[in-house]
Amino acid sequence: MFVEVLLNVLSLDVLLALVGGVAAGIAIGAMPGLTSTMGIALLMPLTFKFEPHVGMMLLIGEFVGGIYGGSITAILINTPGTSSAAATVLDGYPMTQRGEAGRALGISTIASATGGMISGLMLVFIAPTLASMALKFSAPETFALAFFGISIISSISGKSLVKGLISGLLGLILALVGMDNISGFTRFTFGSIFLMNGLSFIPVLVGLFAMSQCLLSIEDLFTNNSVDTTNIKRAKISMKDFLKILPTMIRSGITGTFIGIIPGAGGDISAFVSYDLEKRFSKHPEKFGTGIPEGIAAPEASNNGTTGGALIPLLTLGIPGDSNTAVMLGALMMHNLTPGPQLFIEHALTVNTLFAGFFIANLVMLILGLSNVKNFVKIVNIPKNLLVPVVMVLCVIGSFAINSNFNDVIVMFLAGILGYILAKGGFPLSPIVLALILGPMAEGNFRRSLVMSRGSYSIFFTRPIAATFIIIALVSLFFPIIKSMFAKRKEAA
Amino acid sequence: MTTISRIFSSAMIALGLYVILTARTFPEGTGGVLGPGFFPILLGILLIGLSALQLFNTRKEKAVATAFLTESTKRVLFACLIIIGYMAGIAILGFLISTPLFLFGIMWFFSVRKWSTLLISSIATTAVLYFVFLKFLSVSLPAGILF
Repeated sequence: MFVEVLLNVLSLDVLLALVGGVAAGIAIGAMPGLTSTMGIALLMPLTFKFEPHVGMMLLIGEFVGGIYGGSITAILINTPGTSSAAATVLDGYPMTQRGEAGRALGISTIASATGGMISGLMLVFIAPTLASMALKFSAPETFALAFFGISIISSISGKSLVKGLISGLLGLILALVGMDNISGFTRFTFGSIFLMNGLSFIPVLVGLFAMSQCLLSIEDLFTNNSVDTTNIKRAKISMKDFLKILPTMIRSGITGTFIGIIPGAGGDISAFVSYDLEKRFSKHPEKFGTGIPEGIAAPEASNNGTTGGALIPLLTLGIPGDSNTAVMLGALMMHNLTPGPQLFIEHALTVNTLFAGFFIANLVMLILGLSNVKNFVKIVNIPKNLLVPVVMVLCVIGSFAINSNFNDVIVMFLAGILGYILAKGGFPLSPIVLALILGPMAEGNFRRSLVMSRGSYSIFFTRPIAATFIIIALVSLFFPIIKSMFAKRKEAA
Repeated sequence: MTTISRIFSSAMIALGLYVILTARTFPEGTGGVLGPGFFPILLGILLIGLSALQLFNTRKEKAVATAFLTESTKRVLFACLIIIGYMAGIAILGFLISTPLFLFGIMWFFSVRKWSTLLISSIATTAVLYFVFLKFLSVSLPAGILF
């Protein structure tokens, strides 16, 4: 097995896919307005004709590079390229203002790679164990798990809990379209044959995450985000800095991985959590925010830590850890690699190749980051009024290419408009995706469980694993609601 | 933001009502097995409840009295029309002809005025995409009904 994995991962096409994916990821991540999720959604149709493991490498490379790329613009122009780099701004930009841009970029590169590697190690150790546990799951457990995943919506809804829940419910309702798995009855298809199999997942994602972003970018088409490249020579890291941030990187990498495992919580949350933790346990918390190495290393190690973490529930349970892995779930399905415990048995070689590729992706990111920052910055300077039209064309081709069906293009466009309206109204987008994936899983297994128990609801509470997950789900669903009610009462008093 | 969120919440109430009314016509489950209408009705009720709550919560917030169609939203709206035109163009003329026209048109709309930039970027992008997708990845591109 080991030799086969090695041969797989060191083959030319895999290496090319990794380098291409990471490079595309860094460029897309670095551009404010383009997110790594959007990059994965756009690259996915490209992987259609590749062998599954090659295609997935491209996407994993994009994921890893995209989360790191956001730090480049965060450090250089005080604008995070992706939301997960929002915390990097706090210490990254002050360091640039002192004229130490190269140092800041070096720290963020090494911290991102270290965080990624740590999460990769945890992925290799945790995923197979979790998968073998999940092998024993039957309908009630799977329902409980999906319900738990959905319940996370209430904690990732950001500022407005109600808005997040509305987004989630909209996702659950959109997931109803098509033939009902249990009874074969068609729901909400308006008599269309195209809708019988439900809304095609990938066009919806391309629309929600890429097309809607294009529409939002049109609004501030003429804001200037260009970076002055004359003073940036290269990213560099000194031994002294490296030893100083080593404990921070390890702690934040581990924290990031665990936050990544939680469905729905991604790099943006983990970066702030790690920054906060480092500040709290630091001997000199007052220096955070003035441009110190730990202030860059903590969020960067942590947000790249979520990459490996988010892959754990994706591969073992089929539950995405964040919006990036939600899109990847679509890609896995497209390549007939249905995630879940069976994947580790039927496609063991592919899974192990993905693990090995994940490490190489981080290595590639380290090399590209340290050697080529200047070129990535040049890509950021491509004017938006040339870039946005090209991305729009990619959205159209991408959604058409999957099934060669023009209806998918229309679905993509409508999803794009929906995403735009939601974003304008302050409704978060990730709950929709989470609900779209987990909704059918929850409904199907809920009803299948009741068939198993001949209509008795006790089946969900007499099986220990199912009961535990349901209780955790109820707590995570209602805790934020209760918390906000208490906060309001306090405010009123 | 408040105005859009209010309109959207009202639309969600309407959607919830539609889902419930439609789901009531679905066949009933038999012998303790839930029918296909159970979840839609449950979700519809929750959606109506939460959207009403959202409207209630924002009742005191004054929607900022800006013109609904600002300069930038007008630009988005018009861009959407261009995209619809592009999609229609693809369906009729195919990818190879409508894409450079779309790129040229929308870049012009985005105030790109340099002829060399307009021509090179619209034609070169189409050519690159055409070769990458059709020749290298052998993904089919819409050919249109005319050809």
